[in-house]
Amino acid sequence: MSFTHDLKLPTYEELECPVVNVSSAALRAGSFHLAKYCDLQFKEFMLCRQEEQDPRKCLNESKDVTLCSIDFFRRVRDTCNDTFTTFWTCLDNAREGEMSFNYCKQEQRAFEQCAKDKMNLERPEAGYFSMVRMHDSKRPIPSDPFRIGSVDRHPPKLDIPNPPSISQANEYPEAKLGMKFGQRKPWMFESKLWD
Amino acid sequence: MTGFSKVAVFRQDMPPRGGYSPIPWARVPSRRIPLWPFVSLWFASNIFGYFYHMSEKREYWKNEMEMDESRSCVEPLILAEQDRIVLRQYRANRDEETKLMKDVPDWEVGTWFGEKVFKSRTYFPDRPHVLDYYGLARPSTQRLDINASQWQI
Repeated sequence: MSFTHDLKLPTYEELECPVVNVSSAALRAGSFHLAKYCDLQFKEFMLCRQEEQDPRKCLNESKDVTLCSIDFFRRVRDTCNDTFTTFWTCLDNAREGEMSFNYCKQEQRAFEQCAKDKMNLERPEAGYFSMVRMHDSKRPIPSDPFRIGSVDRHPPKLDIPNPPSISQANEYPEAKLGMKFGQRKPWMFESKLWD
Repeated sequence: MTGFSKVAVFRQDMPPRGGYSPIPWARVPSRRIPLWPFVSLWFASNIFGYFYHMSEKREYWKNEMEMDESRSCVEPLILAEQDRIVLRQYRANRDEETKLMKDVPDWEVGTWFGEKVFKSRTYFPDRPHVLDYYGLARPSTQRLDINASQWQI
């Protein structure tokens, strides 16, 4: 309602894109392998979204995302259709209506085995997608439209130095109070870190 | 002793022949069940239960994390499709508004009779707003999204 004719809204032709014709249970069933398969496109899109803060500027990346997901589900349909179908129907009919993986572990294992054998897609370990993952892209860093500050990308590898050892603690008496190397008492709150 | 021809006969309350039986004065402890089997069972169940509980907790949180992870895995796809749908709707709303307010004098599309919402610079919201999306819809469609914040019908 607050869009004047000054603002550039994309046309209908620019927004044309095929739709991932897949139900929510099937999406949940294939989510891990999908994120593994389309990792690049997903990361590019999310990076673009976060940096530009504007959906109009990330249309190409969003189309890449959708096309890659369609490709993934087409591949699944071609190779692993049976196990995938049993898995997502099991999720759909699961107890409590939450589509939780607890009640469908057998089918999940079958689908993962099929994906590993036929599609050469291994699902990463349990905590992989909760961790922070870095991404660097060739897209130029945009200017700061909202005057946030520095919009710089971190390099993929961070050089973290080794923490100091206990013997070095004697050389730094100011560090003895509070941040003690190796001997930490987490239940003690020392408000002064050094004098 | 004159005048007494007969003597009154009475019985005395005497102990029985052979005397009374001995009085049991020693302590008689109550019937008890031993405590050590119960204590040891409780202690053993504590120890085993601790390790079992820890493993169950780990399993439970692993399952919870899995659910959250599947949602965040799928998030880019959902966002991409949502962006396109929302942009399409914005364009349709703007066109509809021009059609509706063509004959109203002093009305500029996207403003309140020329007064802009965002005055200093051109702003485009990165997240879809309910009013932008459902602004020109019928109330029955608006009521579909009643749980969204900042929505008053």
